[in-house]
Amino acid sequence: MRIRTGNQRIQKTGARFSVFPVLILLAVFLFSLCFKVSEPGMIPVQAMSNLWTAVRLKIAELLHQPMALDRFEIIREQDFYYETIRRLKNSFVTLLSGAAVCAGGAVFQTMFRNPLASPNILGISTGVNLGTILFLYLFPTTAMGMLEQRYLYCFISAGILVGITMLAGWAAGRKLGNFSVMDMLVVGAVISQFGSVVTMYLQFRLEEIDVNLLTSYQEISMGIYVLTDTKSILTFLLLMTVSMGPMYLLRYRLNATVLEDMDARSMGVSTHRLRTAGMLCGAVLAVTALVACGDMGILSMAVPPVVRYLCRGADFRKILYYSICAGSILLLLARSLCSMIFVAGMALPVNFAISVLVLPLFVFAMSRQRSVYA
Amino acid sequence: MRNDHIRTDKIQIRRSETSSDVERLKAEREKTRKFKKGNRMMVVLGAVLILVFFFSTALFVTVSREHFHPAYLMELSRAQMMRFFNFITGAGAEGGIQFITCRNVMIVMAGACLAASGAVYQGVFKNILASPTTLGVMSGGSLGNILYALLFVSLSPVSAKLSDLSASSLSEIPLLDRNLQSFMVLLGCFMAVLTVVGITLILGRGRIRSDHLIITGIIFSSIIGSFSSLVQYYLIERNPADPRIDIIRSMTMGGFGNTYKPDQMMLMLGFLAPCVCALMSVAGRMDILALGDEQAATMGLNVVFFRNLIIAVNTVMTAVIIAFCGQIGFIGFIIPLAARRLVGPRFRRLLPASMLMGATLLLIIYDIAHLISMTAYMNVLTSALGSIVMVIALIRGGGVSRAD
Repeated sequence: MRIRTGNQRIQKTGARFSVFPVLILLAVFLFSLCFKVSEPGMIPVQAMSNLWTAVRLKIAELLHQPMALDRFEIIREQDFYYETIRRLKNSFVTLLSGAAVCAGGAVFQTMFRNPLASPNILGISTGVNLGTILFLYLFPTTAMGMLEQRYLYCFISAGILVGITMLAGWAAGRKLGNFSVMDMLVVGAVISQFGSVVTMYLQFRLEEIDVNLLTSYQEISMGIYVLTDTKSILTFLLLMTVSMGPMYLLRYRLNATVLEDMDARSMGVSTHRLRTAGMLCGAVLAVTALVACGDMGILSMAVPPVVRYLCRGADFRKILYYSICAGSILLLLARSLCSMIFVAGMALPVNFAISVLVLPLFVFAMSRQRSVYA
Repeated sequence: MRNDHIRTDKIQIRRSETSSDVERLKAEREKTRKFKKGNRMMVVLGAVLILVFFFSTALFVTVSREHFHPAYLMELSRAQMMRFFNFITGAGAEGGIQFITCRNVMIVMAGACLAASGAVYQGVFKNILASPTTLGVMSGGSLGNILYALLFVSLSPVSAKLSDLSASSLSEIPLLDRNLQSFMVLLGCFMAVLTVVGITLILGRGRIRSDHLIITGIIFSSIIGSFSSLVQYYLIERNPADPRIDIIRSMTMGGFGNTYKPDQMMLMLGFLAPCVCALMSVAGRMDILALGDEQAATMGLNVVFFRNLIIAVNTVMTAVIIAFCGQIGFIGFIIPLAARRLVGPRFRRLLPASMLMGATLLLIIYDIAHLISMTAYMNVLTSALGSIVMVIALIRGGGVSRAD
């Protein structure tokens, strides 16, 4: 309850969310729809009219109106129709994966009370890269068409790496009597270093088979190639819903993991179960996003501390909301700006741009905090 | 009366002295026992190293999968041993034994110095994560290598011929030109460490905190890693047969394929020996530094100066190894853990022990790599072994705080 001069009112105790980030997100989304250098001659008005046509056609198709019958005629009249649809899908996937990566990072960091305990340090990034390259190595000719297998391989390899990390951290903590984040981080750093060395070795072997395979691996891991077909978008949405649902339901309880274990237990919250649930959800989110959009794991480490610094607090609900917005904005912005920067005749990979763009912010946010986790 | 009083006092004092004397004697005996045990351990480690060195020089070069027959192997080994013996006694070098010996000496140096630098970093920063890899030295080296590949490797046929020259005419090329890649890598390492330490100083407002240092190092490494993959991507897209790609990539895998010449060995030794001597001479003060900044300051140590000195010396040591042998991970991670188990945390013991163990381990790994013909991918093997050992040690030792 807060008393204000003038009108006295009782304020709700729930967290208040600003609409501002969502507005920025919408603006950036529109920007990424309108501007891209890869299709010269296409103006923003045309993109908008194409989108409007697409929406009208979809509605007509659903309601069985006569307009749906001559849709090919209508589409032929529009310039750049398919380019616009592709751009829409691309931006949509980018937005979702930025959101998912940062949500995963926020969950991990809140649970472990440490900004380094993010998916990319605990081995998820490396796991996804390893899964992708193993998959390419095993199915050199048919790799790009096999979506389920790709998800399967990435999930299995990331699961193994994260599982080893967690188990080792848990076993080390059990011996001491309490769970230690630092142990887990050490194991994670070790495991992911090993994974990246194996990935590098497999790159050598991949080049021996076919150089084009190596190029396609690089395109996947650097975020140039994005999964935009309908099936993969649906899979993405399904996995995201499955993992975001529990997180939304647990949003109050996850705050309790910030407390010490004993305190949380005395308040009636089982931190162990909560950690397991949160970890599963966060890992699924991060892996899904990384499979769809390349190795953007650095976002999951860098964005939540910046958000925590800007919010001046560690309320999980706020952190989750603002991290999702900030991640989507950053990834969308980086992708559309990268498509305009040409180095040696090719567009700049998003991975590099992200790490150059975000890490100074992260360092700044870390330097302004008194303790590592505030 | 007065005298009596004094006498009883004296007696009491003497009595108390004797009881404390016994304890002190016990403690001293315990200490000498431990010291002797440590000495014995050192002798054992040294003997093992010499044995492994002898075996890998005289025996393992001859092993290959094609001729894996015991009698043939025995015959080859005997011949090799004779050559080695001749080389050592100065009777003459035949069959490239001088190159093999040189390479093995370099492996020994690399293993020893990587392990020593790992031990020093872990002890001084009191953090198991602190190692040459996490502090950005290795990624700085790869940055220097990339710059070398992009700036100095010309694709003209003349320079391609240069690499095929025979050894006699190679020695006529000046030292700097011959080892330009190594020097670029060295420069990259130094710049990386300066950058990381500078950012850490800015972060901590003039003080170096170990967690800041590690965070900055990891971030720096990830930026360099993405830059490296970016450069590789562009090079492969333009021309898949570009020799610069191999130059960039072979660095990340580590190996002793290029390091077998005596002058390279002397160059490496000239850099490394002073560093090791310097570290050994300040070993006692590193113990004090490991107590913590404030404790060390109250004991009269110039903490900032010493820490900077140690970082500088360590960086030189690691950078020289990276420059000549490429990235070899995890030796600096695992060896100090095991060495601390064996001889305790005091640097005067820990440093030599970890050097001996590191050298032994790297030799053994090289021999295994020779057997399965993966000598160009040393980093894969050391990482595989290192990660397994590390995880097991963490689980059994009960965490970072206990593993220290």
